[in-house]
Formats: sequence, C-alpha cells, structure tokens
Amino acid sequence: MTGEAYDHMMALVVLGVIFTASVFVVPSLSYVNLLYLDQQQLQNIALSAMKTILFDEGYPTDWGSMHGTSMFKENDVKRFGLADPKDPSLYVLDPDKVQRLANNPMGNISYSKVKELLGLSGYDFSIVMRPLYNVDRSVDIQRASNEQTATIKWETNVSRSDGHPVPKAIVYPTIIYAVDSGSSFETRTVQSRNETDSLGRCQGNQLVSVSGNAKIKDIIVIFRVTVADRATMVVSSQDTHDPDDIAKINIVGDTIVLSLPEDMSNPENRWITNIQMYNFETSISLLNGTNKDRLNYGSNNVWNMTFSGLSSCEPGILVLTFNTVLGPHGGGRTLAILVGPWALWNLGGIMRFNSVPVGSGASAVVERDVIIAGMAYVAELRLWKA
Amino acid sequence: MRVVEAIMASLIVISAVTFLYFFASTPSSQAHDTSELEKIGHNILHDIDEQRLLARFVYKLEWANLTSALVVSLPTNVYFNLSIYDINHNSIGDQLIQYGDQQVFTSSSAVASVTYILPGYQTSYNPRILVLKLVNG
Repeated sequence: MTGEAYDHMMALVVLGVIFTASVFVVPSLSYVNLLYLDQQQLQNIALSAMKTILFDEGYPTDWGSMHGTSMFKENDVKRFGLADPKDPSLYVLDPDKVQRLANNPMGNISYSKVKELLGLSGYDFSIVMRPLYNVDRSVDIQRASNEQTATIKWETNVSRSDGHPVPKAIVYPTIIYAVDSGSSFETRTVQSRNETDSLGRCQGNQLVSVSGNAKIKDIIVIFRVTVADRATMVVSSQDTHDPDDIAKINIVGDTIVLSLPEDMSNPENRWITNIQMYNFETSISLLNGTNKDRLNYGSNNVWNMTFSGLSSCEPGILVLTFNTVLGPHGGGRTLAILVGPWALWNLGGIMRFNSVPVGSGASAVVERDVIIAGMAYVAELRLWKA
Repeated sequence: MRVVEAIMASLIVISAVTFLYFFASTPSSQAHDTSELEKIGHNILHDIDEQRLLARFVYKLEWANLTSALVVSLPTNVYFNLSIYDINHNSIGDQLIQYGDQQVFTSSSAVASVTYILPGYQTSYNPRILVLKLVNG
C-alpha cells in the first residue's frame, strides 16, 4: 500500500516536471519560427499594399486632379493608387496624386482615408518618397552696397542614404537673380557644370553684375544633380527670405495654383510679375503679370491660370517673380523669386505620409524605384501592426 | 513500476512533438529569401530602361555609367554583379560591372538572379541579355 502511494507520488512529480519543462521549452523552440511567420505575414501584406499603391491608378483614374482648381474632396476617391493613367509603364507615378499625400494647400487625402481604401485595418503604415541620394548644400551670397554686383559661393555634398559619398556626380548650379531696372523687371540666369570629387564634394563661386541704374534684387541658386544621367534631384537655396512666406506653388494638371501661407505675418499684396518654365537648358516665359495677377488676404487668396501642355513639360521647374514686401517688418517693395512646385520640394525633396512611431515593434519595409514627373525617387512603404 | 510507465509515456509524447517540429514547414527568413531581391533587381533595370538609359549604356559600352546608375539605385546593403551576353551567349565587354565584395556571391546561399533582355538600340535589332546577380551584403 505504501509502495503504491509512493509510486503514484513519484509518477505525479515526474509528469509535473516534464509537463512544466514542455510548457517552457516547446514554445521557445518554435518562437523563432513564430517570429519568422509574423515577419513573413507582414512582408506579404506590405508587398501586396505596395503593389496596389504603385500599379493601381485608383478610381477615378484622375483622382489627384479631378477637382481642378477647387478644393480637393477625399470622399470622392473610391479606390487608392498612385500610378499615372497617362503612362502605361510600371513604376511611373502621377505627380498630381503624389502631391495629394503632402500637406497640400489645395487639399490632401488623409491617412485614415488611404488606410480605409487599402483595407489595412489592424495595421499602420508610412510612405516615404525620397531622392536616390542626398544633396547637402550651402550658399553664401555677398552683395555690394550699390546692389550692382554679388558674389555667390556655394558648396555641395552628394551622398547615398547610408552616408557614403557619391563621386563623379554632375552638379549644375543655376543662379537666378531678379533685376530691377526702375521701369522694368527681369530675371537672368547663369549656369555652370561641376563634378563631385572622391568625397562627393564640389564647390565654386560666381560673380553676377548689372550696369546702369539696374539693381540686383533677390538671388536664388538651384542645384540639379545627376549620376550617370540616371537620377536627377533639384534643391534650391536663397538668402533673403523663406520661400513659404510669400506663396505656395502647386500644379494641378496644366494649371498653376498659387496660394497664400496660413501664417499672416506678412499681409502685404504679392504682385506676380513673371512666371517662367525652366528645364535647365532653356526657359520659356509663361506669363508677364498684370495688375490682376496678385495674391492678398482679401479676395485674392488663391490665384490660378491654365497653360496648355504644362504637365507634359517634365522635368521642369517654375520660376516665379513677385513684387512684394519681404517679411513682417516691411522695408519697401522689392522683387522676390520663388521656385516650385511646392509639395515635393518641401523638406529637401523628401515627402512623408504618416510617421513611424518611436520604439515600434516588428515592421516590414518594401522599397521600389519610381519616376515622378520625370525624376527618379525611392518609394518606401513601412508596415506594422496597429 | 508506475514511474517507469510515466517516464515511458512522457518520452513517447516528447519524441512525437520533436518529430513534428522537424517536419513542420517554416517560412524562410528574409535573409535567405531571394524573391524580394529579384523584384528589386527587375524594378531597377526596368526604371533605368524606362528613362532610356539602359540601352545607351549597354550598346555604347558605358560601363562606368552603368555601374554608377546601379550603385545609386540599389539599396545600400545590396551587392551586384552584372554580366551581358549577345544572343549566342557570348560575353560582351571585358570590364567588370560589379559592386561590393564579390566573395559574398560564392559564400552566400541566397543569390538572386534577374534576366533582362534588350531587343536593340534605336532602330537596329541586336539583342543583349543582361544577367544581374544580387546579394545582401
């Protein structure tokens, strides 16, 4: 009797030990597999979502420009996708749709709406469009007191996203300066060609001058950078004012839309004196402004005009000259130059749609090279569990 | 006696679980999955071709430009090795079009390979077969 009880007790103890060990050991054996499974599931969903974003045109197919110059209404978008309906090639995105992802003065599509249209309930995601490489630049403009000469010194540093330098990148700095001749205004351009050294750096300087009673007003430097003609990136730099203080430039289809910044620190009228399309080789004058071409916080807070064939002129930038007061402290009217369009230029050409939470857990990342308005970008989708 | 029975039963259960564990199909890890690299490789070649640069680089033998274009286009941790053949599978170009430590291609068990065909340049039909090998560095 005692022997049997002893046997039962021992059996229970041994079984208990084995059961406990199994509870802890077996899950740990398969834990790595579960992690892989989880990661693989995220990766598959990210790939599927990326495929929809890049290859689907959405519905209506022109949803990025369907409202023309009116405010964009996100509820009119029935299906989400960024593909360009006018280009049958893969990985070519519609700039009008991409601009709706940015904080756009003409209205943008919200994160929650895109999430709903993509059917990603239970997941969160972020989309980043960035250039193939980074271009850091510095510009120093020294003006003579008589406003007739200016020396522009510039330096650029071209690097990949991991910080490695990009040697032999071709840098085309284009200096655009506004000249006030008293009776007329004009913009002039000077362009040079430079190559980065083994550390991805290049620098140079340029003297610009005018004669007679003409005076140099605003100066802006645009850097176009190419590597093996493959990737092109444009960044701008200027010294007199923050471009966002004057106006925001937007292109919807063939229509240029200018709007005022929300910050009303500079309430003065902005007269549009000139608009040019510049494709780094030639410039085409689109408009010589009249009294009607102006922006103010009264009845003219948005200005728009349609130029037939504008959207097919890519890659190209708009150079606008305004007659305005710079900054909130007045100082008299002067010429100010602005380049655009606005959305993809913000934050050095990087566009972010939703941000990644700090300290988030497992996530899947899918990257693809895409073409937007003739320029190469990297589209990155990051997906994680909500 | 019951202790022995219990141990025997437990051993059978553990053996069964272990047996099943080895036969359970597990998803491949990202480090050893080449399908994503293949997609990236095709995407890059397609984009360079879309910008009308790939044919120019290949037919005008601009190997340095082709290497630079691939380097800036691919993710930073991806190494590559590009071979170009004519339609009879003769190798074209004596220069190496590659980036990164080439030892990785022999040591890694996950090398992705993408084949891309160019029919010709401008109006002449003269196919070139591009074989792009990619590996995570």
